[in-house]
Amino acid sequence: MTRKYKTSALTTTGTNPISVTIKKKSKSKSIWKAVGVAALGAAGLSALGGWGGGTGMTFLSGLTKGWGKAATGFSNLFNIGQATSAATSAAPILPISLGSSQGQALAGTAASALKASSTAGSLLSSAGTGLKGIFDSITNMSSGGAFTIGSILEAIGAATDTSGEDLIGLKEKELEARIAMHEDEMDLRHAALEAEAHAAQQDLEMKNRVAAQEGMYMGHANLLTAGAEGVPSTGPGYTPKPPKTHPEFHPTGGLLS
Amino acid sequence: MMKEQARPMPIPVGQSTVPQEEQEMANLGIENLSEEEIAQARGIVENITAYIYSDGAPDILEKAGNGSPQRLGEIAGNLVTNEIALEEEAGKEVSRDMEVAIMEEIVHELTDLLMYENIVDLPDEKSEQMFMGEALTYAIGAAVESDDPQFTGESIMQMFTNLVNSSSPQGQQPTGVLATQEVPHGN
Repeated sequence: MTRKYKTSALTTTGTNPISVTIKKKSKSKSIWKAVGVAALGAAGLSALGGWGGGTGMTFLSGLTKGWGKAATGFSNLFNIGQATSAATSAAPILPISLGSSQGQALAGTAASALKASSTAGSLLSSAGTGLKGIFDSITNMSSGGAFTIGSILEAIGAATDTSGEDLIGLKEKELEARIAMHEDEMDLRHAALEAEAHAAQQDLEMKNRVAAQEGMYMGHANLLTAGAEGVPSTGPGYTPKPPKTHPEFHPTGGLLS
Repeated sequence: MMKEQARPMPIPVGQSTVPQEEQEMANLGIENLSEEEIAQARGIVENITAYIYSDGAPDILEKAGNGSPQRLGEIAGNLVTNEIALEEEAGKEVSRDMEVAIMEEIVHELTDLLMYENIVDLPDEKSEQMFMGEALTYAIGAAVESDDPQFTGESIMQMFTNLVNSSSPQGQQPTGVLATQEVPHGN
């Protein structure tokens, strides 16, 4: 059993039970609720998209990504008739009942958002994008009083729809980002190649040192292996001094004759 | 012999004079809170409002800067989050279901303050609603970004989907009595 959402939106009558000051009465009874619901939905979708401290994302990029995540579950639904079949795949992302009018509206709007097409002649066509666009759409609905959760979802979906000039701007930004990423990648590849070459050189020198060590015979270096790259020079090596002789005692130099 | 009725007639549902859209929005309301919760929420709003209109106003106005909805929303979100944390430190249990409603009130109060101080110019109701809607979104966002483990992106999304699902007047299974199968006489 789903728990009921317990909060309303902003004051509708000027006498909200939790208000401590008298507010101006709204002209529309539904508009504040719609605004509150939209705010909740936008914040939730943005959080779903990863917006938050430390993620480096802006609210709107989070919103777009969150909407994309929610819409992905409906990506193959370009007509409402198929909506029910995708309920299982969509449920973990956005568990809205697809049997409901809202679920069907979301399926429809998600599909249209994915196609990046605006709803011609709808309230949303002049809304623009972004957070302002969402609330512009919703407050424009007030005259007709035609509030539904589906309309709110449409407004949120339209805010994430990128078309026309916005799309060109985004494409330019995307291209810049791709170039920067490519340059970074090339730098990384160069660094990796240098590291690999250095490691190979170190490996070769170590093998040379091992060969030089194995080529020694009775403390004498093998000339073939001792001169290889990476083998430290042993220098002239140890040459014992001639023994000190005492001719007064041993005229032959101390050696027995 | 009179033939048995195959299926009882359904009891007609009275046609509501309220349009479906309005009825749908009316289902989402503070009226769903219990009296105890309303009293608690009101207490929190009172505390924050008392702070806003006493010592807090100069500080809030300074932080609000040029009065962007984002700044105002973040202030509102932080005020509510801190107040709830204080309530809980005092041993009270605060349901997060009413946190958004409290934020709505505080956003409203702060918007009034900024309008009174001529920091923002909102000439009509539409512009007020747009401003407060944006601010409320950022207030919820600020609370999500706070340290409160009970108010997260997932909980917000859950709240939203519960709202969407619970508000639907459709999708209810038709009620009625299962009719007994007619058995033809003879065979």
